[in-house]
Amino acid sequence: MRTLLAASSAGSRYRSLIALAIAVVVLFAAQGAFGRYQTSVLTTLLLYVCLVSAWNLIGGVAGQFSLASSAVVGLGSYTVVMALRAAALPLAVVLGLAVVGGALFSAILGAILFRLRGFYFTIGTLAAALATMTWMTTWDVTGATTGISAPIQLIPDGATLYRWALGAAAVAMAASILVIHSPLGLRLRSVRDGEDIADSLGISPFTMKMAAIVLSGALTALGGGLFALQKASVEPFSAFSLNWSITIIVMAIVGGLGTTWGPVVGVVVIYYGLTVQLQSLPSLSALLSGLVLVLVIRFLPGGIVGACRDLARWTWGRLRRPRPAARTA
Amino acid sequence: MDIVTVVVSGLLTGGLYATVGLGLALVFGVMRLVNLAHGDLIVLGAYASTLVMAWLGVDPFLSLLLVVPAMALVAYPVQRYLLTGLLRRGLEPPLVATFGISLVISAAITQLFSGNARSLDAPYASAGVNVLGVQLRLIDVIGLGIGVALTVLTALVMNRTRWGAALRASAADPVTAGTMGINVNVVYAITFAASAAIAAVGGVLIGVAYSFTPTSGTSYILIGFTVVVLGGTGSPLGTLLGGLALGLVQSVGGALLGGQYRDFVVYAVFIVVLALKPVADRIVENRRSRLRQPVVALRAEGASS
Amino acid sequence: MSKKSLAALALAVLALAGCASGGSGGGSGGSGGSGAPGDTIKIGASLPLTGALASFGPILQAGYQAAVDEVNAAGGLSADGQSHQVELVVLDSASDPNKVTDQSRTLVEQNGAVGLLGSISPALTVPASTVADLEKVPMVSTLTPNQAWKAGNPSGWQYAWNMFFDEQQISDVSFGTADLAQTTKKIAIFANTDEDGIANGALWEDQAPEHGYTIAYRADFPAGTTDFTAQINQAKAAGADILFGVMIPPDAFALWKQMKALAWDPQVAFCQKCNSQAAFQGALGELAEGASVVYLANPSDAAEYAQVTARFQKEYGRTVDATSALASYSAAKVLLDAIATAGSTDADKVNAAIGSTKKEYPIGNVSFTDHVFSADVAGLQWQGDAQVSVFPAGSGGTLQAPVKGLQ
Repeated sequence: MRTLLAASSAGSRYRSLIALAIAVVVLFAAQGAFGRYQTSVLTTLLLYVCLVSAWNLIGGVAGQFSLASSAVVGLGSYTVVMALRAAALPLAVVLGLAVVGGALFSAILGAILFRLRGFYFTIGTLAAALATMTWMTTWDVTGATTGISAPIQLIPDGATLYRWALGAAAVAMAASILVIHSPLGLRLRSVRDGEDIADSLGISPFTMKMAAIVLSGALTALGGGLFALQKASVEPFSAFSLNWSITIIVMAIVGGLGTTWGPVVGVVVIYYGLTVQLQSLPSLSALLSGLVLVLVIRFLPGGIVGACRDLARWTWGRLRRPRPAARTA
Repeated sequence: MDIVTVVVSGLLTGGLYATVGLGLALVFGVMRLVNLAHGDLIVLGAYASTLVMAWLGVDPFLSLLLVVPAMALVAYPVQRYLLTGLLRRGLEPPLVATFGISLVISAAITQLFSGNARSLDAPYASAGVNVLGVQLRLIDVIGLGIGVALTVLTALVMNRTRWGAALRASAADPVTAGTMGINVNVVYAITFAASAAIAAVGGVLIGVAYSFTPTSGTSYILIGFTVVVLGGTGSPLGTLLGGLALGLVQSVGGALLGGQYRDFVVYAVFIVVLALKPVADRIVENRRSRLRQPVVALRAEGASS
Repeated sequence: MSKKSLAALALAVLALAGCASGGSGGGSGGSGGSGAPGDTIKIGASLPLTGALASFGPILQAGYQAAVDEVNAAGGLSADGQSHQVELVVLDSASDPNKVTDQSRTLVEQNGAVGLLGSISPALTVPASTVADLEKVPMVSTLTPNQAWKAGNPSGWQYAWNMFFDEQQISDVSFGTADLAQTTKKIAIFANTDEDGIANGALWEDQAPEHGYTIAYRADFPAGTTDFTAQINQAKAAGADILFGVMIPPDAFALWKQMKALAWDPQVAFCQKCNSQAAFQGALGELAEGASVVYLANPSDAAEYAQVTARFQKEYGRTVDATSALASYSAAKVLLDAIATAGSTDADKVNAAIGSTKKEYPIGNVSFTDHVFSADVAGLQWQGDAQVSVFPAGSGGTLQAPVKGLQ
């Protein structure tokens, strides 16, 4: 039975990885065809894909609804800017530092908060996110409320940043695919669906949750670091803003929690469909995001991807159903 | 540093915190619903009050006569037709739904009222009283009074009325309550409406005593949850004590560590309480079971003889 | 089941349609730069029309638009041998620095802005200035203290320019104004933990002794604090009768109401950033009477600005809002005049032209040193419906002490 399951998830794993590879190659090759503005928009979009896939691992697959993403994004941003200021290290090194920082921070967070379950965990992460921001506004080492800026000459140009963003999104998606279609993913989902039962089956919930949050933290910090390169200067209120957590969660849920491609769909719908289209009306776009979230959670609990899957299954079912025999006279 | 001032100011703020936490505690206690939109409901109450004040030119607290029913009327269908259905699906869907509602409310308020900070004007907003040699703000004393009054009112309704009995029954065991003829859906909806009404009162209080912007809601959510966690959801009195305790801790913490850490103290308290909660619960449970043991032993004795 | 799938289908179609329309829209606006001859010259600004600093956004926009309208009425700008109309594109940043970065980029890359105009406060202006330097597009800003703005780029700004005053001037004028009243020379500082608060607080504390003052009490609090009871009581206990404050307007409303309730009535009450607008008086009514602020000195008397000065003073009253509008008008004029001088929209030419500005504008006689212009400041006090200049002495009004509104 287990082999059968593994085989089918291995199969869809390969299919997803191939689809991802094709998408990456296409986006890489097509870069020349994009104007500067489109490159910027795509860069931001890809970075959000990285962040949302990362959250999907802890929030969707492992079922631990964390609001602390904003803290990790801020951490990644600050690490990158501070490293660039301290020494003009190559980008790969600087981003690597951010990844390590994100993983460590998430590990500590998990160690403290994983004894809490359900809503208590969520509110605990909210407290952690707000506490981190408050701390950063008073910490002189990082410039307190003034923040810090990276030397402008060390900031990569739009095209380079796009490639880095593409790489980050690819890594996050690949990690997502590998985790979801693997025994690890199965164990995470079992922890999500019934922690005590999983425990009694010999799966250590704590270890599983830690694995998820550390991986998620590493990828989130990577995205945060690259976001910092878009801005060159960071300060606590924007780098650690709770809006990061909120936006990521809305995108993940609208796309489809726990699914492989949900993050991509969610980012495209919310960022491209709402934020970019309504650039000049940010409060309208925020209102619509909230509305879409409520509608999705009410009518499409599996998100758009879940709904498409249901639609596909229903259509397939109708097509395969034998037509009722015609009544003979 | 004047200890008396610090303690008194902490207790007075605590009265406001109790009001903020009461609505949350009610909803969480009765239906295990985490209402992330509560802070925004508070702010919505304040803005609704500005509308009524502009329209009728009345005192902010008088405007509550219109605002409270309006908020309750709006909240009722939200619970009845949206949130109750989601409660069945587990912990996350209602949480996410209230998340979305919170986004909608704050964005709508921003769109309609612009982001300007506002304050509800009233003559007693800047009046002071001298109590036992300590100069206090009249509105702070009013705030404490309202917190106590709401708590007492809620406790009375829950324990002395038939309606309260239905509420407690639905909280304890909704399925059985349903079989006893209690319309649990209606009970839930009315609870949520009451919670929104209490939030509106809190909003007016905050508007008169301090100020508000469309995004002030977030800070009050965390305060509310800290109060709920501190005071437990068992009784309104617990919420009142939780609020007072939080106000006190924040005031003392701010005085000791410096004003810029006032918010930090709240978050730290929250995390510490959450971390210690399992331990505290176990202690309470042990004590309770130890109290039960002699009775069990007696019964066993009685049965065997 | 079918209801769900229908909803899913609808949502998917909606999403795809949105992407498709968005894609085509994005594609057509893809090219940046000056565009074909006869096109309008676009300048952009990402302003806080909503959010925490929403009270300043419309004022900035009004000032910028007035300059643009004036240039267009006079026939437009002549660049590259042709006459072009100017268009001001404003996006709402919702007071969010993250959005400022994105929108500034959008303005340059999608809307083709050849110049940017700044926002208010370092938190919102530095991100825009950073984008200006990254995209190599000239930018002129105001309503942002010079020192804090310069700190936003330690290696020096290349394409961004700022015209305002700095914290040292605030300190000098605050003490100067306090000198006009009979006080115990004991000051209570109420500073929030924003960079303005930290910068101003530090300067006040450092320079109090040389002006003959002592800091009897200092309160530091995060933005968004609403309860000042403890701090006010401690200020009273310390015997302070001068208030030097820096905080955002919402906190100031709370502080003022609480000062009245707790019966602390200082002789002089300064509040930077917080009572610099009509909104302060609007929210507090009589309580606002007598509150002071250090702000730009009254605008220049040059004849060419008489009309716009009169217009803004009529619209905003004789308050710092009118002065702010004139400051933003000046910033836009500097940018537009530089384009006219350079005779082209080429970024480096315009940048050089801004650098060699030497002209009088409502904000003062503008010339840049190290990319900043330090404007003159004055001590202003709410008296009735106007903010009257009380320092330097003889600049229009006399200081009323103690603070009437808090009596």
